[in-house]
Amino acid sequence: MKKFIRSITALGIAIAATMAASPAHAESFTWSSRPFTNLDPAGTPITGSITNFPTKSGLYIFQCVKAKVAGERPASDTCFDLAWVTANGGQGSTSAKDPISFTLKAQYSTATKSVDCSIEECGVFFRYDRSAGTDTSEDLFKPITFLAATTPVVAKTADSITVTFNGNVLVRNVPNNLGYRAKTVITAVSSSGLPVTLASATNDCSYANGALTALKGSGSCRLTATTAGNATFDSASVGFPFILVPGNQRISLTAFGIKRDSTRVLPAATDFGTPITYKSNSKSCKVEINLLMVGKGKGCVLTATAAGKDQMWLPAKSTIKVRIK
Amino acid sequence: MARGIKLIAIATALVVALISPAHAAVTAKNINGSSISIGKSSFSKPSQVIVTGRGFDETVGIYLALCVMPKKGQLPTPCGGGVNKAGLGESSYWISSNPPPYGQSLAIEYLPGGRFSQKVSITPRVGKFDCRKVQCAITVRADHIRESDRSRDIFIPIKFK
Repeated sequence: MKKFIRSITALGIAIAATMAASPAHAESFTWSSRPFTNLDPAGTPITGSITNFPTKSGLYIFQCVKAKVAGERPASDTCFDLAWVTANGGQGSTSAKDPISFTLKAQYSTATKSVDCSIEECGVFFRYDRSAGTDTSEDLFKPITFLAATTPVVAKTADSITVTFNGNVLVRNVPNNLGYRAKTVITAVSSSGLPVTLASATNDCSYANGALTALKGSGSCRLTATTAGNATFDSASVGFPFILVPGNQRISLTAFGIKRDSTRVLPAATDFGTPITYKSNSKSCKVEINLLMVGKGKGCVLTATAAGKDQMWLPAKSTIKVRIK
Repeated sequence: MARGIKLIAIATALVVALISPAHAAVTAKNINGSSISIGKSSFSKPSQVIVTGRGFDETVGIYLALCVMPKKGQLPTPCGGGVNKAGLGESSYWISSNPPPYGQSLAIEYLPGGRFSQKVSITPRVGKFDCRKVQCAITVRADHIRESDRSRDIFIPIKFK
């Protein structure tokens, strides 16, 4: 019996020791790639993969300066966005099933800081994305080191691009809804003053003349904005995801007056080409297909309806007052 | 309803019937639900015909042209005006809402709902082929970005008297 108690006690001590040595919230996923050591300071492309991807939410991957206080997250103003990874991709993210690529540089700039990882202690920082932003259970900081630069690295100024969508500033990797064939106005400026090239990176949308157009009413699109860079400024590239939603078709008919005992041809289709069906609430008006025939009376109300199209646009309904003169 | 209105309605219906003879219009559909229509398919001299398309997938560009009817499953060729990547002439049209950068000023955008309406020249000859001897057709096919995609093909055979 004493031997059994000693064994249990020893096992308990061993477990306690193991727990004390491990972080309280060790991440569940595994990152695999070439080592993050002896990297080229001018830029080292990294391609890696994640196994046991967490089910709760996606992951952000940043390059950051190590937090000053152990156990805390790196200061966000030292972090450079490398990738957004979700279980199945979509909305502009990289699928966890696909290779994950980014480039690590010794020197980089964030919105407010210039960071030199040959001086500062930097690393690649993994954390849950905004869907579980305060959950630190998947936080992982993997230190990185760079080779000593053989030639001085000429640090260019980082360029940043600001893109607006119908007057609202877009936030990188934060999706917005975009209706099928909805009218949009896209503007873009760079901090360098260099021209910004906008394009749709996906086939279900088109970009032209300052407008992003959804060609479907479901799925997703990605708008990319890039600058070429020059001797002073780095090139810049940023992407903005859009979730496509069914569009709103229009029946272009409003209240009107018409002489009694007369006819009028009404619009046969919506702006999306869907046939319009008309009904009158009064015997004063009769509609045959799209021909309105008016008799005597003060007026009538027409109900115009058009069917929707699955995953493209919504049904439309409109009531039109007709005054008989 | 007043008698006058009824007369107007009947008259309007008659006019509509006379203007658009139902027996002559021809429509062809494909498996994707898209269709093209023309007012008539029989010609005695070079003409122009308005081709209207409906229900097209706006993410897939197409060529609209008068072509020699191919064997089943084969790429429609030759066609009047070739593939017309230059966007010139009325023998063929490139219709695409998301062409590559070089095509943005060349391709014609789909109308909302995947529609188009274009005037196509109908000629008795397509290249060295005589449409009085071989079967020619108003043809829709996927553009050169999806050249081998035969699921987009639509044909309305044309007859030259």
